[in-house]
Amino acid sequence: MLEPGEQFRRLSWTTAGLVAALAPHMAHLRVWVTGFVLAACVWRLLAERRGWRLPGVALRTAIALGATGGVIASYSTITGLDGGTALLALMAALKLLETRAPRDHVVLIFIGWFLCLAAFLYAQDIRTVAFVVPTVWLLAAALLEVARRGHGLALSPFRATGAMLVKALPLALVLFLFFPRIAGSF
Amino acid sequence: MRLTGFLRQRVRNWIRRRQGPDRGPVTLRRGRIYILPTSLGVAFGLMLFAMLLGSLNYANNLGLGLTFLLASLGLVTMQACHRNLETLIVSEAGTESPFAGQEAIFQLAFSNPGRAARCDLEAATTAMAADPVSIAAGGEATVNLRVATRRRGWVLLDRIEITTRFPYGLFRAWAVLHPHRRCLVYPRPADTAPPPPPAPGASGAGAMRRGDDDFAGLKDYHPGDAPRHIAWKAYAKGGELLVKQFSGAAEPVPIFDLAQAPGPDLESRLSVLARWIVDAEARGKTFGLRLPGLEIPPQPGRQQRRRCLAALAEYQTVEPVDA
Repeated sequence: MLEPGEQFRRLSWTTAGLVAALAPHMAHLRVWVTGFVLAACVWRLLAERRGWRLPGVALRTAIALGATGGVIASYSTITGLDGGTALLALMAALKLLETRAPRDHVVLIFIGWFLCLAAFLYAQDIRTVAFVVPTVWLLAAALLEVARRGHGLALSPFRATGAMLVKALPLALVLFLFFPRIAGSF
Repeated sequence: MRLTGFLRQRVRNWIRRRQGPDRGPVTLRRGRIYILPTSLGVAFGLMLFAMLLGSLNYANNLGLGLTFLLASLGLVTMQACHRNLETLIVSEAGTESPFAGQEAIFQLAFSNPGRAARCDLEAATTAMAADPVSIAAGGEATVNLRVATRRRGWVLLDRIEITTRFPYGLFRAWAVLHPHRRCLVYPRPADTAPPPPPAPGASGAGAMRRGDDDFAGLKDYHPGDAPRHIAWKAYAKGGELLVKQFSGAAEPVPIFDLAQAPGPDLESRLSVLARWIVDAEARGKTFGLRLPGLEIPPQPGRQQRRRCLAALAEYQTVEPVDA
């Protein structure tokens, strides 16, 4: 079991990554969705600091049903880009409310990367790129932090992941250039 | 469950056959490092696949770029995970004998000859894992592997697994060592034991033994004499190392004898002997041990305790017991 300080540190990393991934969507998400996610982030960090109890299964189920209902009411669907993004953000908030094990953190970081992808689906301009690339980096650094198992030897998470991303770049470029594009959508 | 156990055993046997036994320090080379994705790694792959489908569906180039960047990052972490073990040097570093029922400790020494730090290395026996350690470039670390024991005798450690999931936990790289290390387990000292029987000649007249009670004179120092008996004042005056000699007629030297230890069976009698030895050493006394076919002459100290307990532990054991 992790000691409280360490748990809080990991939670801060994940929350920071999630909020950064959510930021490009704030312009088009309904205010209540953004509000709920941010409130969940703040509440979870406070709960960790103050030692509050996390919500039980019944409450979480109620929140999940309420969130889905809210998305249907606001967007009239849960599929599609708008509804899907809203649902993804809400599910991230819900997952945050039950984050204890390192695995929960990893799920949140995966959702963060999905939100980054969704940001590109909304806009492919240079501003989005300039924002999303650092967010991807932040999420990767957060993953490095939450996946650590020992205490010894503190690494600089940004330096370490930055080095790995630089190594990944040429390979990604090759894949990007030579991967066959399938025409049309399915 | 039974199937996975069966498969695991098959894989273990295969690894043992292809690697053979290990003697001395082992450098983890490529041929003995195995690597597979973890369940998290599989989930990461599924996520990438979903991202790929999404990007293709929307014909979104930046989305594809992001997907490929993350896929490449996954491959880079695979290589980093493998390199986290490669060329690590693992050597044996002593054992700590326990009493039966406690844990035997086998020490492992890791040394990192590389120029990069290694993070979160976990060593494990088949039953128990040690805490993860990290080693700076050129650094070293010692790990204690604990093995539970039930009875006295030899415990064997013939399989060590060194694992790492660093950096992202998406892959698990591991190496297997097959040392042939053993550790002696002492018999557990009896909780309650009658006091040892009085030594023969306890009240014998004029038995002048070397003891600790009355100052009897000085003699030349010989290596092995207790430092607290050195006559430092005489040394300061004359520059000659002398040792104070004492005579103590008060206490005769006991030799603990298996024949005199009470108990219903051999094990409980050995436990009583172990209790006498531990207590005698704790009180700083001189003692000896007599087993059928073996006699350890009386001496004080930690070394004697170890010798006597080892004799008890090995008494009438034939085969090393597997841990």
